[in-house]
Amino acid sequence: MITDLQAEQIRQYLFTEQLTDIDLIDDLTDHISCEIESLMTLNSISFTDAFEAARHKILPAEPFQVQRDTKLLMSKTPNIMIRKIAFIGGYASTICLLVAITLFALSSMSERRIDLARYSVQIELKKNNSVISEGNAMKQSFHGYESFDQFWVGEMAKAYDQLLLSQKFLMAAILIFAITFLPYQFYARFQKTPAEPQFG
Amino acid sequence: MYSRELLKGILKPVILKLLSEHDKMYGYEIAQHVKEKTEGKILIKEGSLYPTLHSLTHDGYLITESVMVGNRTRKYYKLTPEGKGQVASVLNELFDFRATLALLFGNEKPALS
Repeated sequence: MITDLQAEQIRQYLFTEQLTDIDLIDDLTDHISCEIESLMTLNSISFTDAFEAARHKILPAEPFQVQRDTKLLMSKTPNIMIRKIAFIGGYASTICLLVAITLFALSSMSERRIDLARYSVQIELKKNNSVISEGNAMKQSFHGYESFDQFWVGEMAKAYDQLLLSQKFLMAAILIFAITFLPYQFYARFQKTPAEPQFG
Repeated sequence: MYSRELLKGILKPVILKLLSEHDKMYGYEIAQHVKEKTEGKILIKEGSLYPTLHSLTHDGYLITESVMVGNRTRKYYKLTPEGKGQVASVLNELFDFRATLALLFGNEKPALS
């Protein structure tokens, strides 16, 4: 069995190779120690030779790769979750934005419709040389409404509701985008692009 | 020895299966056990063994038990109840995959030179 000093030598070697994960260092120190003990027993070689052989046999050319792969494997699930949330957030935000634009367009169209209706009533009055005042005409039935006033109020209320709803959807789109998609973009740029684990 | 691409996908099932048959094992023991049982055909490299063990521990399928050997720490890995529950489904998937491969390649060794 190797001595405490030799085990410490292995541990220090791993530190010099930039490994910082204590759990992993414990595992690798024990693994290398077992391999060294096996080599020393089977081949009757010194600790130094056995350590050299075990190092080449066990560790990759760049020992830090083991820690990198460990970190990568352990962060895979949260990464996938974050990507999913960002994707759903981006999608929901786009839908909200489209609904907001549609409602805004509908609201504008309603206003335009009211204006056009008003003009059409005025033109109609002029055409017929009617003695009825505009106010009276406004009270006549119009497009299914009892009077033009009622039509005007109904259409304005509809346009106003659509505008309010459009604002709400726009706010929702901005909020969803800011809460889900933007943090992911920062996170993705902040994190270095991890390579695939170098198994073997 | 098989290529690392082939071994990549079976490491988790191998570890879970081994630990379901043994109460607890440490890393070197797992690697040696696999080597002996497969007559040296499957050699688990430490560069893939420990990341996988740590990942399984992180996912809650394994727990560790530390024992001091001299002044070094030996970590024994053990299945959690959640890990025990995972063994059957992981092995079923692997057996199913093996059967699917047999559909593609057949069970006989091809007579290719």
